[in-house]
Amino acid sequence: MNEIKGDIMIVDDDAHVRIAVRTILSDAGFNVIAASSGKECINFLKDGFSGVLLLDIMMPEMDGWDTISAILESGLEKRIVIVMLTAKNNPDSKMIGLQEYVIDYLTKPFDNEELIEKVGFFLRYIPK
Amino acid sequence: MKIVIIGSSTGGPYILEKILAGFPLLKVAIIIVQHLPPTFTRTFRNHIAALTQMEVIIINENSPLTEGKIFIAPAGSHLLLEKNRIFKLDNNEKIHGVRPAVDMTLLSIQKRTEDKIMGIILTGMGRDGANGLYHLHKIGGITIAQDPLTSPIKSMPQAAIETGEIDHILNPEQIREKIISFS
Repeated sequence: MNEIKGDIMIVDDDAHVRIAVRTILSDAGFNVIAASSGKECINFLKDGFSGVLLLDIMMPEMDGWDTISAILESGLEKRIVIVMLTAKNNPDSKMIGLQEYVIDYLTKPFDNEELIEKVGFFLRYIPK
Repeated sequence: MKIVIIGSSTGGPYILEKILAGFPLLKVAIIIVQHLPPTFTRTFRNHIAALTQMEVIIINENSPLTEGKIFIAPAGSHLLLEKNRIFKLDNNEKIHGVRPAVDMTLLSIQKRTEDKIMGIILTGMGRDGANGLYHLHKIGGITIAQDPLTSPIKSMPQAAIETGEIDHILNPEQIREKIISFS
């Protein structure tokens, strides 16, 4: 297996968001990979990604909650922390039952400094 | 004994570290019920321990509650207090979709003249903690909800506020000061 090199994975179907997050965090010194769907995210996890997952809720086919459920079903949650990155002001009821797996919640449009600070903060939670 | 019980979910680890950073040794027992996956309990404990002079302990079955320490509820079990002094772990069904649920801890608290209890609900999804704070207030405890405007997710503190039994609605810095002045 080729281990995926990255600290952060941005998972968002919107290319503009993927590019913006990747630019902000790369400029801050983080290694960032981008996935355009929940399915691609799962594949990166199966390939060994370990780090902070910035996960969009509203995605076609497999939304953020479906993606978390798939991660749990595959036992891929042990080396990641999940931060939801979303345009919604407050999460929907689909979060109930999954909230212990979501360590934080950032609302788009996000503040760049807050994004950088929180990503650095949560990287400390990744098992070595 | 002075006892502080803090319930927290999504957004909580970041806010808790802000509240507890540089905490002096206080003559109070602090219990933290944070919704977390089991693999992160020890990491969470280590980060809290690095911030404060208080000893930080992951609770085991029959652990005694003592002043001057911070107690972390282990992920995967509900946490109860027997006679406000001895911890009991309970592996029954999740409540509000979570285990531990801080409602279970707060509802196990008894009115005892020798104890002063403070309950605090921070950010999180759902309504865990609301029933527990209602109970705590009815038996004479002090109740605090994080100001929803400062919460990444508002529903847990909002549900607590809607019980009508909340003494203070505070931001994290004010919560920190309240705990220190309570000790």
